[in-house]
Amino acid sequence: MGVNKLFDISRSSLAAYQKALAVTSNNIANANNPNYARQRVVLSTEIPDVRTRVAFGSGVKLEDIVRVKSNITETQIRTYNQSYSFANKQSSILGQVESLLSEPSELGLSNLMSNFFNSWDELSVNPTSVPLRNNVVQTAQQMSTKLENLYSGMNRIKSDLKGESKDLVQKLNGLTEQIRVLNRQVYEGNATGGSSVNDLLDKRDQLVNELSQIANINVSYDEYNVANISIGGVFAVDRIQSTQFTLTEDSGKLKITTEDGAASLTLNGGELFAIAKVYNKQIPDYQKDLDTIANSIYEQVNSLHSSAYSNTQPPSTNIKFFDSYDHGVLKLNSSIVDNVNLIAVSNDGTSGNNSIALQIAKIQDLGIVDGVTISEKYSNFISGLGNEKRVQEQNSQSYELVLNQLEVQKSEYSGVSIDEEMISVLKFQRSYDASAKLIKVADEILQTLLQLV
Amino acid sequence: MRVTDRILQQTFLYNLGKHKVDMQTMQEQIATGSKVNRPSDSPASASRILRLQSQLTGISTFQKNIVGAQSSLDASVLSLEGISSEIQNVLVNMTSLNNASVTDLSSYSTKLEMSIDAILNFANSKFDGQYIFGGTNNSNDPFVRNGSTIDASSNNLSGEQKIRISSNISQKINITGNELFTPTLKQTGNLNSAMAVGDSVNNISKILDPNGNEYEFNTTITKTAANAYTYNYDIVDSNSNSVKSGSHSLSFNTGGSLSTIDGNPPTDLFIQDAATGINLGLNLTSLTEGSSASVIYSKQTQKADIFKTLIAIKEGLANGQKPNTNQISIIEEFSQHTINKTSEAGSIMNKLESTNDLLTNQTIELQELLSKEKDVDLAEAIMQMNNTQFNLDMGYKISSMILPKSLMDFL
Repeated sequence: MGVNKLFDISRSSLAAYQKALAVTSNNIANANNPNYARQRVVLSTEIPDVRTRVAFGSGVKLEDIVRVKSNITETQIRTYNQSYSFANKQSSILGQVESLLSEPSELGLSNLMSNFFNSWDELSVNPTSVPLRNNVVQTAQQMSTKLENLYSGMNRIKSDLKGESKDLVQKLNGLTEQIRVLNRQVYEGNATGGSSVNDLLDKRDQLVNELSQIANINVSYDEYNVANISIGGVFAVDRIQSTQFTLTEDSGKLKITTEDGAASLTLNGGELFAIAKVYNKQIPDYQKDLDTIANSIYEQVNSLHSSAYSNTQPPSTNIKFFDSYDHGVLKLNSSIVDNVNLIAVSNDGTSGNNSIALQIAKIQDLGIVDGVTISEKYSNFISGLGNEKRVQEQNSQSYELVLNQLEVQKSEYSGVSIDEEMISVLKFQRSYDASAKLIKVADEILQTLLQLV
Repeated sequence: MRVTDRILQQTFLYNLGKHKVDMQTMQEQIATGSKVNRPSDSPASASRILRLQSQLTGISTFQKNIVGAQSSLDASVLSLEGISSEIQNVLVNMTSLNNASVTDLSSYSTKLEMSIDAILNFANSKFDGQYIFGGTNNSNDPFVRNGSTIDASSNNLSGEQKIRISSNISQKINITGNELFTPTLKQTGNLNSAMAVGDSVNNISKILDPNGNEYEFNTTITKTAANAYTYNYDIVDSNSNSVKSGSHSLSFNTGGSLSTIDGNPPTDLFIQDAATGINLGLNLTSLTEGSSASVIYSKQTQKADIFKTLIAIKEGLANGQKPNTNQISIIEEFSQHTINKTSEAGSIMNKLESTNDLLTNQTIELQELLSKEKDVDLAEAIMQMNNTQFNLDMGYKISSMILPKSLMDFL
């Protein structure tokens, strides 16, 4: 064992601490990268130089660079991502529907319906008055315009949602394909036992997180740390292949299937589920409620109106007030709009008789829609929608809180602390200095020896 | 706990976001003055607000209706008072006829002619495009003068004009032409349902013609089948000669009330005879069928048509003939009848007035409820907003203190 040993040990430690400094600086550089998991150097001794009876250490080496990551927190974040993005998306879509209603205000359908029925009440005071008849037509038009706006607004939201879910499915396909590529690289890195794959794993975790915001996914890892993912119960990606999904519409319902149509996703979380739920169930239900209300107005008003006599000479009867009701369009009889005297309120043909006007005005007090009055049915519809939106909003807030805490946990465990890293920098720098000093010492020893010659 | 830089950032951002949302909510509430700006703010309140608002617009419609009805009733009362004072004039003139010194009867005839015109004018008066005594008939004058006769232009002056003054109450707001001018015989009573087919019930009432001649109005109601009867009337003069007769079929529903007359829903029947000038409305709608004994009662508003009577008197005067006591009694009856109808109109006005007061009270109560559901307590809201603002400021302050700090600052 000679002086050279000192050089060898110093060389190994110089190299090890230089690498350690590199890792530390990488940590500092990524301190604000939310997807970055801090990396820690593992130093170990070189294989000792075993002489008779005594083993001399032969320096230090950088054994490994470990990625500090908690898989439990990661899994939980994914789970809550699904719930949060579902609730958040639902609440934002329902918010759009809600703003269509403009309730409670004077512009809402509730008030316009009251105005319509009250206009018949007002007409009953002077059934021959043309201004009061005009008022009936005007309030009816306002009511039907609002109804149509509501209905078509919901259809517009639906078509927006369809476009959005198409984009989401495309994004889904892109993500699974990227994950497959990463899986392959991770596999190659790990299987050959060579290159470190930490940064690939960070990248993949980020993609899996994004995936979990879109739909409910299930992730498992094999021994080479390859992520096998299924989406909504259907195989999506491993290291060899990824499935491409496609959006189809089947009798008014959105469905996401594999490209060959063999399997369809069973959604229960994520934005896609929120969209599908609103598209397939909630908006059609709301429209059905509006249909029920509008149909009963259409039928009740028409049946009374066609039994009555108009204010024309001679009085005519069997006139429909509304032409038709179809998918949100409550169409007024155009001849009434042209000649308001065709509004029929007399039940015996005399021009001053108002008994049908009274009966039409009274429709709003009768339990004609599933046993309740029109305005009760409508306000039940409003409070139902409001409730759904409120529940999702509160869910989204509570999931957000949980997610925030999980993110804090993740940062606590995997995040970079600049203080810590700076201490490491100092530590490694001092060690580096010491090693360099040691080389100088070895050099001096060697020179002393040389001078002896 | 290992505190990393990102934890500080995350916690700060999360809380900052929350404070900002709170600020936004408070700001919206203060700006709009309303706690409920969309259904999801409070679904239960939203639906209550909708109900309260629709009740409020309903009430304001009822109040509008009442104001309209009050002015049309005002017009009715004015016309009724006009008729009443004209009839008083006629009565004064008729009384002075008894004065022995009166010889020029034709001048009385002229005066009477003027009074008839005035009454006809009132009878045909209009308010807001509607005939006051036209029932529901707005198309033509209710009463038409044809030389020496004045007839109702149609039998349909009986239409009641009703308005809704609350969700369950419809109020009649007109005095119909038939009510005021047509002598009506109202027959009430009961037909025993145990009566055998062929059995009958009788009633006799007295009526007059415009010349003051008396007639008997004989009624016979004969059972023809279960719940079905034939109604026969016969008008007989003092010499027992029948001047007019007729027959109608009646049927009753299981509840015991009259369901049809001649197969139609029950309305007043009109009996007119040109030769004698008899003009009579017949009201049977209150007849019932039940287990108590069969009996018919009759009640009359007037015994003869006022216009025809006045014209008959006028023509008599022109021919030098004074009116007989029966004729004077017809005028006196009509005068009383007009006063009764005026007070009926007055009492409808009173009812409308008190309903209006009630509705105003209801409006105030509903508005109070609505305000409780909806209105923001501004003092509280502003205090909360200040509090939130304070929290936000503190957040900023702390963030400026801790966020950039690290060991770097001290190396």
